[in-house]
Amino acid sequence: MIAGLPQADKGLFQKPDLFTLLTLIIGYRQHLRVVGNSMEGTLKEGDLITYKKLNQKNIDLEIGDIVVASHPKTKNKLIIKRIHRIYQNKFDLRGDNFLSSTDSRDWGLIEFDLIIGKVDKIFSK
Amino acid sequence: MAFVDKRHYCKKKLFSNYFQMLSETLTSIFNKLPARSVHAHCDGPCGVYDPASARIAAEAVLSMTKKLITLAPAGNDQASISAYNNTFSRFVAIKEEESQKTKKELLILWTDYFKPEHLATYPDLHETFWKAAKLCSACKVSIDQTKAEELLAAVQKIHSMFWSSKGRSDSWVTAS
Repeated sequence: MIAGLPQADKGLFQKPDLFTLLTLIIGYRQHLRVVGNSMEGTLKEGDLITYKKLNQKNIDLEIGDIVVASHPKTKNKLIIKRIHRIYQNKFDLRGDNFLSSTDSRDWGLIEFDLIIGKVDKIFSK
Repeated sequence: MAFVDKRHYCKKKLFSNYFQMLSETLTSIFNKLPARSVHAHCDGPCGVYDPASARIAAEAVLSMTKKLITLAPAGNDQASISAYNNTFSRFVAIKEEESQKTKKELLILWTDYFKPEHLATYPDLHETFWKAAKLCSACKVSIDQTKAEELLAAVQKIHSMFWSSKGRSDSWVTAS
């Protein structure tokens, strides 16, 4: 776990609300269900996350952000990781549960194009 | 005045109940909301690793090596020689297969389970796995009991590293 992040994550954890449901229905936000344990410490299996797709207005990524990206080796598979380092346009993505995570330590740096969105809300199961 | 207070209290309670109901309904909707999966990925696919599979294969290598060393034809007639050749070939095939299996299981632990962070605790991790993988090859190409015993000892060392990295101390129990 990257030092100091649990505090930063606090704002992400929310209770279900009508506004979020509405933004999901109209497509302003996307939602995904977490599978696996590589983000344990922050995300558990079954948690629902919402994210906003990256676009020209929304490309502000920082170290510590949790992001949704396309798997670099497997087509049509999405992964969720935390940005550990940024090298120009390439990202070192790591799981919070570093002893049980397959991430940039195995795949190498992830291209910006593979990053789909930044997680903005987490609804714990 | 008391009547007004009571009305105010009832209204407040009504709103409170209403919000609680709304919150419960929303939680239920969010929990059941159909959603695509996003993988908090590990290749296990869920972090399930165990050196036991390497241990079983390494034990089989040692067992087949011992059997090959003591194997001899029952007689000098053609039937005995054929039976000997047949059994010898089968034992060699199993020994080679199990050696390969041991190597595969060790490589999975080495490349998928162990991470750079483990090197701080186990500085000889790479050396241990590299030697163990070499022993798998040696056991595959020869009938050498010493090498097979060394392989099992190497797997035992990896077993200890693995479980101590998980904060557990599972005892080393062999099947044979």
